[in-house]
Amino acid sequence: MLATALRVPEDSPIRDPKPRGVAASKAPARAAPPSATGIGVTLRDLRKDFDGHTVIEGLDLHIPAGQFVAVVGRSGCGKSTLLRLILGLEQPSAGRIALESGAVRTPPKRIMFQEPRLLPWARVVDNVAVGLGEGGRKAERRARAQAALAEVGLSEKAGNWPATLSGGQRQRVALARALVSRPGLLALDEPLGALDALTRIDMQAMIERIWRAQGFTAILVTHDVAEAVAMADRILVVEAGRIALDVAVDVPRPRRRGDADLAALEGRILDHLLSERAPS
Amino acid sequence: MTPFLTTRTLERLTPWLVPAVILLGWQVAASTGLVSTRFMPAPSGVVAAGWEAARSGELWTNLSISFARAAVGFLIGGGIGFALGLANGLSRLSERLTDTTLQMIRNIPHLSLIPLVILWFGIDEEAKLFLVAIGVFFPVYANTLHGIRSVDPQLVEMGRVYGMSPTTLFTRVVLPGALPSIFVGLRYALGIMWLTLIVAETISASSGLGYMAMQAREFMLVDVVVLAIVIYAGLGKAADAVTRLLERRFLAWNPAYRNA
Repeated sequence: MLATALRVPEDSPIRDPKPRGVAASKAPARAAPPSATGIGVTLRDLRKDFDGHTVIEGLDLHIPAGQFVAVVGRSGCGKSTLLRLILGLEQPSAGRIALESGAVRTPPKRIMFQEPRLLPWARVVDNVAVGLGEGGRKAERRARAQAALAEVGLSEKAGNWPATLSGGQRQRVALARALVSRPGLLALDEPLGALDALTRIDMQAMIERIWRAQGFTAILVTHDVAEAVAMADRILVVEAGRIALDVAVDVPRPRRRGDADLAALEGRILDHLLSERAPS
Repeated sequence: MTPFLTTRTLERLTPWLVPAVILLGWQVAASTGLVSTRFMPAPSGVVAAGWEAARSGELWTNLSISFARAAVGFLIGGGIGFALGLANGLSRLSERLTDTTLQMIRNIPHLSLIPLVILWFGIDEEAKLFLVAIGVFFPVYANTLHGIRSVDPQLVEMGRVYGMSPTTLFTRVVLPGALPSIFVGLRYALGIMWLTLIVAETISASSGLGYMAMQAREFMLVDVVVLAIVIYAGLGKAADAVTRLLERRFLAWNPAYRNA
């Protein structure tokens, strides 16, 4: 108790995140919102081969329930494969994936893709209801879909066809579809990559706000280091199928764009990514 | 003072301007004796023939017989084509088993089967139904197959990830995605349906519109021949209008069809 009190406050951005970054894969859970529904993820000695080619090898990772983790890395480093493994879209070649949640009934896992992937022939509200899975009373499904749409600020578009929405609005509908079932784990596979800069910043803020309110575990795969730094509690740099760097982002929320600590961290991660290419 | 012709009504009338002028010229040419009515009756003559045929009941009998043949042949051929298109679009095994065979048969012009069909069925109903069904089969089959093939695989993956059962995946993702292409097949099929029926009825029949036209030719009743042609045109137009209506109803989500 006393020891804890004497430590530099964990929320302080002054604390150098370096030591923790070096102690790979041991970043403690912190600054995560209270999580009632989040799913914790533990990976042990995970390996994934595609046609004899190893994409992920000997990967150990623990993501506490409710944490917001960003995974960055070069194209082809295995970050998307890692996400698909966690979601169960791919089966590991070796190793173990364990998901645990405090809830009695394990909440669902959801993914948001880079493209909205809305059904063009379904109205916006029906697209959101796809996220509820099958079954349930029609009126109740509709009400829940409406509520999720309200959360992303698109209530008035419920009866529209997706074709009439802008790119950013479609991605918000996709977010509502991912969130309508109150997931315990939300996987974000570069969901904002195709949006213009301003829309992207709005979407980042919206995702962060909803994550803080709902407390699901969020795993964001991105190639935009600034985005990772702005949104995540913790950043994993994946390199050749392993976690090369595991850094906690000790900057309190709400975070301000252009914050010096964020910029410094971003620089550090970029340096790391760029140095990978340097000839040894 | 409001103008008598607003821009809107003018726009509505524009497509009908050319047909009206042609009809008028035709009538004038026939009435003034420029064209002999022995070879080309005046529009008024065709209308009179139509009235006569309608009053005697002959027109309705033949029309309903032709319509029934077209519908039954279409349902059989289109139904089989649709079913096989779905099966081959959804199952690799089914496709490998049947597609090559079907593609080979497709290259036979179906009207070239007429002598064979007459040998098999005589000039009974089966002959006409068989030909219409064969003619309609291929456009429906090919376009259904293509439609299912071209469904966005990303949407299918989304459906799987979001826990859709195979049935739901089919009804909510695959079938709606294939629908625009299926409608293209439907339109082609309707055109081929009339074409085949007319040829079949003209060559070998004892009833129907084509038979009516052929009989009229025997007696040099040019006005009835032209009447039959006009009715065919009307039926084709009606079939097209129905397809359009269906498209507007089922493809309303598609910006390409919304204002079509």
